[in-house]
Amino acid sequence: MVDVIEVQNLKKNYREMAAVKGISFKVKQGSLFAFLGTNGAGKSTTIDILCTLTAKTSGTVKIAGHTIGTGSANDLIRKKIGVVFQDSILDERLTVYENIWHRGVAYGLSKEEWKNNYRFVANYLHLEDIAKKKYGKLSGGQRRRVDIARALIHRPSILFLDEPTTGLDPKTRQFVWQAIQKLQEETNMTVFLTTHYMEEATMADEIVVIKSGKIVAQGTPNQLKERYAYDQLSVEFNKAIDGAKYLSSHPYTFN
Amino acid sequence: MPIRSTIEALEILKELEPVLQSFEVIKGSMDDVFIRINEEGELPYVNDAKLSEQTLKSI
Repeated sequence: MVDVIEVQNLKKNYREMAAVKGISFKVKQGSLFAFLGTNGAGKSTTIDILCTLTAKTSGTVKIAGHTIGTGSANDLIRKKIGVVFQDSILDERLTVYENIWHRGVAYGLSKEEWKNNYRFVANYLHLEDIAKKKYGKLSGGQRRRVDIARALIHRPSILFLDEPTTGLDPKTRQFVWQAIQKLQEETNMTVFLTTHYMEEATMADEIVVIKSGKIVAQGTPNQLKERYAYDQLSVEFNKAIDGAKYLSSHPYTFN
Repeated sequence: MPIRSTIEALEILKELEPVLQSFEVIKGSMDDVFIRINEEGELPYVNDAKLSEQTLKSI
């Protein structure tokens, strides 16, 4: 599988403060990649750099074959990626249809391209019933579906999801994930995810954890569980056995 | 008791079977992973996955 994102020794300083301290990782085409970290770890800065929204201090970032900051690469990259931000950037006074139409215009889609793409995303995200409603009148879950549709209207090959399900109820979160996974399976789209819901990260093909601007762990969910999480065995002894006495001396307890 | 993997539970349960009333095996979660990474680091090395003879005698 081809690497669609390649980050080499990426650094970002804000004056004297180093927000990202020389991180390197790769993301394979068609994979679900989870980028995790506590608030202030450097996730958002890294994503902003990958999405060409913030300039890096040093290092190399290659997205879909284009190296950020060289020639017209940033413009080409923006056509290849879609971004769902934590907060919506759509106009509350416009309808769903109008909002997505304006987005298509910004990407320079022809009327025909826009119609085809709209049909495509509306099908995945079930927009038919809400297309004529004003964005500001939608529920949180409906808004998120529109936000994702907005990010997909130009049919990007890489989708950045920055905490896409924060604040959504479990049913809506499940719907959003089913739509994303279906889309990914059928189009081989790469998904770059940040989330605070760890069960969502469990679905990832690869996870990178960043802490204080440095990568501190990397691997598949199972590899990380093996390295960082214990499974638990809970036993109930026969009445004749003093369980507490046994457990205080048995050799399974880790120090 | 913490175990390295659910498979390891098989060995322990086999040895403890005569004295067990019931048991439950719970998989480690990604929450555990995230907290461990951000607070403590990698798990300590596990030396022995089998009950010692002495311990078995003490049951």
